[in-house]
Amino acid sequence: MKSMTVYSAVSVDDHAPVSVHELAKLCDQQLEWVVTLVQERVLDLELQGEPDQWVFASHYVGRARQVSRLQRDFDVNLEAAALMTDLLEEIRALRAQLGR
Amino acid sequence: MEFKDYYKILEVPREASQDDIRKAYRKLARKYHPDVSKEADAEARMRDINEANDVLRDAEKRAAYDQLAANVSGANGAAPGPGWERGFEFSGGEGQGPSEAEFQDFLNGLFKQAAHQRQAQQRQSAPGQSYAVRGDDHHAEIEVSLEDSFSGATRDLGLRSVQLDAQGRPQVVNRTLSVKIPVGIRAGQMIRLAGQGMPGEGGASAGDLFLTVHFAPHPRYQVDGKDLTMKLPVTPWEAALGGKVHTPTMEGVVEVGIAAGSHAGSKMRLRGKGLPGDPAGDLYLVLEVVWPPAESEAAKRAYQQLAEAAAFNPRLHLGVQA
Repeated sequence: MKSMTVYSAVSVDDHAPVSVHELAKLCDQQLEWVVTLVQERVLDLELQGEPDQWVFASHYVGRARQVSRLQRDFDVNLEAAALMTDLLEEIRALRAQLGR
Repeated sequence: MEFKDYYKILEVPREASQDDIRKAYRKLARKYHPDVSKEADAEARMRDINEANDVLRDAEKRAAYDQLAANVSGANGAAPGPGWERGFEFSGGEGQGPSEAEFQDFLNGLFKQAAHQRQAQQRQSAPGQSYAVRGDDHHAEIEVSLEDSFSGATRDLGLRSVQLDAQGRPQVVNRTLSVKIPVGIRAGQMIRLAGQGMPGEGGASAGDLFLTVHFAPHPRYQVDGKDLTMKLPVTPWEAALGGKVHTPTMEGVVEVGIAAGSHAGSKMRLRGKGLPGDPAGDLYLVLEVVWPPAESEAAKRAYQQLAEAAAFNPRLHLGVQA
């Protein structure tokens, strides 16, 4: 019988939050871009500190990636991409309530 | 393997300027962006459009692609190599359809690998300097069932990535990972598989694999974070008079008490019966009153008796008589 290694995945929220550098890479952006997101309150920090030490939970990773994607895809500024993200999140939540 | 004509995908001529490409991309993105599009094939189209845009908008990548495309046409349309097809995907197993990772990650990874290789070669020609670069992190989406989150099942994930070989040629690498899904994982959360991203170079560690979790639609439950909502059908007399009824939960069947005077839409909360966690989520039961059909003479009589006894006009608020 073929044996296979079972890899344990860990939840980013519970065990291994994403570092600011990892977040920037996952969004294909620079550290400065993440700093702007925090300054503009698109992302909230749970723990204040030097930007180099910031860590983020899953929810913010998905959000940041979407902002980055929308900025790139629609060629809009950060505020517009953040507004689109808020509205899209609201639509998703409403659709989930409707069970669609 | 199909060769993708990026110019055709973006509907621009080969001599298109960067401005033309930018405009064409924006037009198509508005039409096919999966977040806002109503087109049936929006996701697949947008993936191609993004892929084409990523290459054509970057002068270096565009030149490399043009060179590749010229070689392809010179070889009577033979495939240009696996690197130009989508290269990174997961399939859910257990009969679930594959969910596709963003091509972006693959393509960027490929070009970064090429850049790393160039740097490595340059450094090798400068003796005395060590060179080590941690592998890139990879990201993909994964669809799991509510049951997987509840019990923390082990799932096999088929993973296909594209890596450059020593000669800089893209190679498809297939592998299967058996992954233990963390108990209580929620939709939208990410999980991390340490060391399962791209391999490192010069002895450095591999990157991590990040998976964003989505739930497959569940026939019974709607999910909101850790909380679950389920419609619980009850009879009119159970709703009106109250009583004990059985209901399924993720943990098995339990008995719940229906309060007298309940109605359709009444919501009950079973604390801690949602997804596992600290604290666990709740299960909400939304009552749905189901009326028995008046098929038998006895049932018809019962409805008539109810009509006489209740003197009930449900249209009173509409200002009409019963």
